[in-house]
Amino acid sequence: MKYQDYYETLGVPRDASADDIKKAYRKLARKYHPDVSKEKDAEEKFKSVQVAYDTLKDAEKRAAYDQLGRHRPGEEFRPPPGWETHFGGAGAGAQGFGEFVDLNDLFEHLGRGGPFGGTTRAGRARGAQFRPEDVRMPGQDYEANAQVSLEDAARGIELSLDMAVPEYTEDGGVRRVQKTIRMRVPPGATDGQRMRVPGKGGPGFNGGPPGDLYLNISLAPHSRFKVDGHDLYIELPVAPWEAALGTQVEVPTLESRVRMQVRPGSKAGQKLRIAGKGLPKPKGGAGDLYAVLQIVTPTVLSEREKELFEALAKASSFNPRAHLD
Amino acid sequence: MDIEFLDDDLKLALDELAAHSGLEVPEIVSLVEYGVFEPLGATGEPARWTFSVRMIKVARRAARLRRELELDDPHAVAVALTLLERIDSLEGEVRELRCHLLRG
Repeated sequence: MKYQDYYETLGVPRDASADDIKKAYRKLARKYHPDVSKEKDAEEKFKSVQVAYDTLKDAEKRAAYDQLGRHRPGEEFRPPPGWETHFGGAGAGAQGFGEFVDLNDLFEHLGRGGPFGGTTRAGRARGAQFRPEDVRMPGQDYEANAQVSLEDAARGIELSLDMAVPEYTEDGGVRRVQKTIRMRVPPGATDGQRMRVPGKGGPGFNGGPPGDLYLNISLAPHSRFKVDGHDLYIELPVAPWEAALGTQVEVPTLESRVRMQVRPGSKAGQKLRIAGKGLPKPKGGAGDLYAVLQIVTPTVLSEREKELFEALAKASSFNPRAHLD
Repeated sequence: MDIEFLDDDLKLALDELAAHSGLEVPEIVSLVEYGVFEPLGATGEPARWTFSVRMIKVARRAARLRRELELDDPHAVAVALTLLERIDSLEGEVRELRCHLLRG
């Protein structure tokens, strides 16, 4: 079994008071909680802090943990004799301690629910002397994030998510298992879309229904299009004479290209709306595509171009800075 | 497998919202009192409340704030949720402005 130093995780001495442990946890939770923090790897860090706190905040679990003695983090060690009985559950002892047993899983056997236990009905019920044989309960809801390309969001996509999900053992403990969950996301999702996949959460207990999977979709940045809701934006560069005289241009859309009219006297920043060429919406219809005009000047001029620009400069009375005079 | 978009007109009863969020029914009732959740349409008896399915996101967040950040006071949860929603909407605005700037 690998040793994890929970005191080190929380940054407290081994003789820290319950109050110090609570304060240290709250400080770290505020720093790393995924709802509050934008720190890199916040979620991973928060989980390890939570696991440590879950054991150290509980006097009984903490005493059991202290009995393990001190080891280097990650060091392989054998639990002392009598460890199993301390944990009461015949289950823990009978199953033996495989190499893959997580320390936290053992503490789960003390029956107060783990860091993941408190958030589901199953978890709460377990804390309140859950007796598996007589309660029908729905399984746990899972939550997952997936990043998809704009094209896949528009067409719909088959997703296959690898998740480490908590699984309840027969004696009421918890272990994390790798699970692959497949689902088809229909067209219509956009950035920040939340979705629910009924029945793809954890299995139910005693014939209870399985939980649901909550999926948060984010869109990968695209080389051409920017996304706002179901609308798409694309930069459309035109030459100064095209903007002045008007022209026909081809604008790429997600699936193909469309021809559009740039009107004479168009300005930079002007938006041309191409209705219905944005992302499809879940209930039918689609957002719009906006081409945003950008006026681009050639950096290298031929002799002929230079002559024409000079002639234009002489002939034109246009003053772009009139409002600054 | 039917996947649902959680911005439809799906409605949830109080106990369903509890089941999908991990909050207890009394916790939701107190968060309604603090104005965090607004039952759709008619108020009256909690047993007759319905909620927009979008509320699952808020409720799950409230459950995390409560348990993982140990915010025991519903008012503290309400303040934190309000601030987090403001951040969400500001981030949405930043995203929108980036679309209009179209740089990078």
